[in-house]
Amino acid sequence: MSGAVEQILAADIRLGGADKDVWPLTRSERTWSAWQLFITMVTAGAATWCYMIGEYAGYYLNFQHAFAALTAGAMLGMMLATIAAVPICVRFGIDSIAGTKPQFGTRGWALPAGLQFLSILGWNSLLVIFFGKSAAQFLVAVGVIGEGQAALVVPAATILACTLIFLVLLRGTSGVDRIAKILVAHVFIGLWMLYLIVTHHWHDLTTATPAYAAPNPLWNLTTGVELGISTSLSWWPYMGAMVRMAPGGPRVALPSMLGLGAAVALLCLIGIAGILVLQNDDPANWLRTIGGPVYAVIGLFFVTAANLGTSVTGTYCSAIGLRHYKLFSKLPWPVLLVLTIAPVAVVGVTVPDLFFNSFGTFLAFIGVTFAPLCGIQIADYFVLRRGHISIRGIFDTSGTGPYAYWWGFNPAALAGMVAGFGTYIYLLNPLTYVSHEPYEYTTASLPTLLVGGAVYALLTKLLVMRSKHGGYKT
Amino acid sequence: MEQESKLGGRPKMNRELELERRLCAVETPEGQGEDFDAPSWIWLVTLGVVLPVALIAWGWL
Repeated sequence: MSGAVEQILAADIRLGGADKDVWPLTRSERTWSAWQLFITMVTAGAATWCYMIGEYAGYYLNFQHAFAALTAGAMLGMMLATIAAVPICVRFGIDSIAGTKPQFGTRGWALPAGLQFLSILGWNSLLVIFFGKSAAQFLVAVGVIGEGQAALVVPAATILACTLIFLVLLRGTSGVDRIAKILVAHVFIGLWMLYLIVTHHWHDLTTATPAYAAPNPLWNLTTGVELGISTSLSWWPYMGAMVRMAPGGPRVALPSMLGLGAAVALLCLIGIAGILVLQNDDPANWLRTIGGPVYAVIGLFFVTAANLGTSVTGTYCSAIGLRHYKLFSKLPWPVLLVLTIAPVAVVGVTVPDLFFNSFGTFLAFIGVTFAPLCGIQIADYFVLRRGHISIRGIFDTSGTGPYAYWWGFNPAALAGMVAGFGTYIYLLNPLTYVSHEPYEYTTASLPTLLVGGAVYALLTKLLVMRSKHGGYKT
Repeated sequence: MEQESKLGGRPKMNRELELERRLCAVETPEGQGEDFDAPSWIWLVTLGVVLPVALIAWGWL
């Protein structure tokens, strides 16, 4: 038996393999410190999307306004995602999807699980494709391959990324923890890049005007805030699988706000600065402009490492989410990992350009759904149940448990999701950014969260509680 | 067989017993993780409400 396999089995014996399943983790298994969680969250948060989000904010706002609006939105959204997902997950040591069973029902959880899978699959595919492209550019920059061979390297690098993710995740959460401790170094490179562009182009930064600013400055500011909120709410699918490794809420609040909220907002500044000053959000490209090929190589290393770290965490969360399906519940962990990673590899190798051009639309609409989901969870845990959750009910699949509702589905949750989704689409089209009043005063995500939660609470009071479903204490 | 079980492919009876053991463990208050305490809520509200309001005011001015 090889040393690597021995180490994997040793980690499994220590955790009993429970971190590779959806079972509740016991107190003795939840050993992550606040510092470990913070590093894992920073590594998960820092990826190519930071530049894309920063680029969008830089279309509408100058540097100061974009920094203020995006950071404000990211922190507000992170607080909402944290108080929606964390309390139930950290209390029982369960993942985000198990935490939705009290609201959506013993079959209705398939809706948030499907959204989680598609969202993470989509983002992972994008990040792995970015990984492949950055690796190819890196090899061209250091002279290992010629420009003409780059196209051949991209699919090979994509397969390499998927293989690395698989090997790292064979260790479960200890793999996530270890790779995060290594890859977190790239965050310092990101901060160094930010320092470079600020010191080299401070005057340009302070005088640059956004290319697509609307005539109404309030609309521009609100759109910056909205970008931050919706980005942070999109962390919901990732949160449960990470925070369940911590023994309690006190070790989660600050790492979550700083690791996923503040760190992502800070790294978004790279994209804002890049698009405002150099009209290019790709740090590898503008580092070449500032410091020549050596800086470009460092930038490419940064992008490659950043996307790998996020993909590892995303794949882990997605694999744990899949465990809830009966079909996948008893599969050996390596087989489940292959099934989780294979679609990403197929997309990355066969249709990367088609995916780039069209899947963004799909992701935009999927991202919208996490606002009402958070509203429903907050209303349920803090207002309707006041923290009374039956962990046995969450894992009761008999059809007679407290969360069986009607044939396993809770109509209040489904109605809350539909009402929230409709609210968002009315206020702001996530593709065209055409908005309707009162968007510029409210953002789109906040009313969506409120409407989703309010419709859920109202229907629960009027229908669910009166029908003695849901295990509510009346 | 032993190795497979450690990697997640547990026989059905073992899985049910293991789940039951875990449910019993986390059903008791001492087996559960703590909720957010007062400092956690202070951090959440400070970083999630106070800071954003201040930043938006700064950005608007």
